[in-house]
Amino acid sequence: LSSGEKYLASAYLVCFATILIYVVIISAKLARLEREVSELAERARGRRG
Amino acid sequence: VAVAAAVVLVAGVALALLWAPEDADQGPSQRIFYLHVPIALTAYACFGWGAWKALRLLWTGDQRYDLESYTAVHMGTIFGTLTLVTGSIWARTSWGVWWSWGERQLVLFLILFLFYAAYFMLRFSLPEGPGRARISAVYALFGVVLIPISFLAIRLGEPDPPGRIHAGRAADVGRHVLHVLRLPRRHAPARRHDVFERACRKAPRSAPPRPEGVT
Repeated sequence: LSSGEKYLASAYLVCFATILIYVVIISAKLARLEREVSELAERARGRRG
Repeated sequence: VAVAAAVVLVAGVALALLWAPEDADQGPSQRIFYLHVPIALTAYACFGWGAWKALRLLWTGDQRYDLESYTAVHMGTIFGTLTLVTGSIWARTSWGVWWSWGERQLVLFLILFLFYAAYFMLRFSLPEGPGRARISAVYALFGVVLIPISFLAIRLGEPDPPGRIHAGRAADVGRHVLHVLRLPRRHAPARRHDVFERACRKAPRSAPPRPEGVT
């Protein structure tokens, strides 16, 4: 690989790695929130019943 | 939607890396722009969207716009970071430096980025509630002024990076000057002088080519 190709590859890799990490963090947060909401909904149902 | 986005993303990268012809001047590093420019535009769009939602919050008082504005600014900051990183990588390969304080488009984008980075400091230093939402909205709205300035700075900036002259042939000087001549009239005189002077300083010191027939 030439020097320019190495920089090109690093630019693309940095971007995709950052976006991938961001998406993983957001999906983990979303999963946690959904779990908490379903737990709260179950508790509310339990109190009503 | 996610599948469509993934397909378009892969297709875009494939087109940028495999299909687009290689730039004669810059070589493969020019392909960074196929990533850098859309990311920068996305950052501008996110900041603009954040400001729009901030305006809606101030206009209507509806608190849901606070979260929408915050999310947009958050996304814009991430894309802004990537813009700075990819821009620095391109600068390193084309100019030989990671950063140049003399390039106004870089500095203006950094100011825009830091302005919105400070948004988070302001936001999280205040107690949660309508007051924080209002102050954050006003701040996000002020930042929108920087977007057109930063965007236009790219067009009013240097037509060619200085490194190209430095590394190129003497004939590049003429092409460089021609680029400058295409700048808007009001900026041209000063810029033409600057660039020409710099080009003369950095061009290889070689004898000018002799016209044919002259001995």
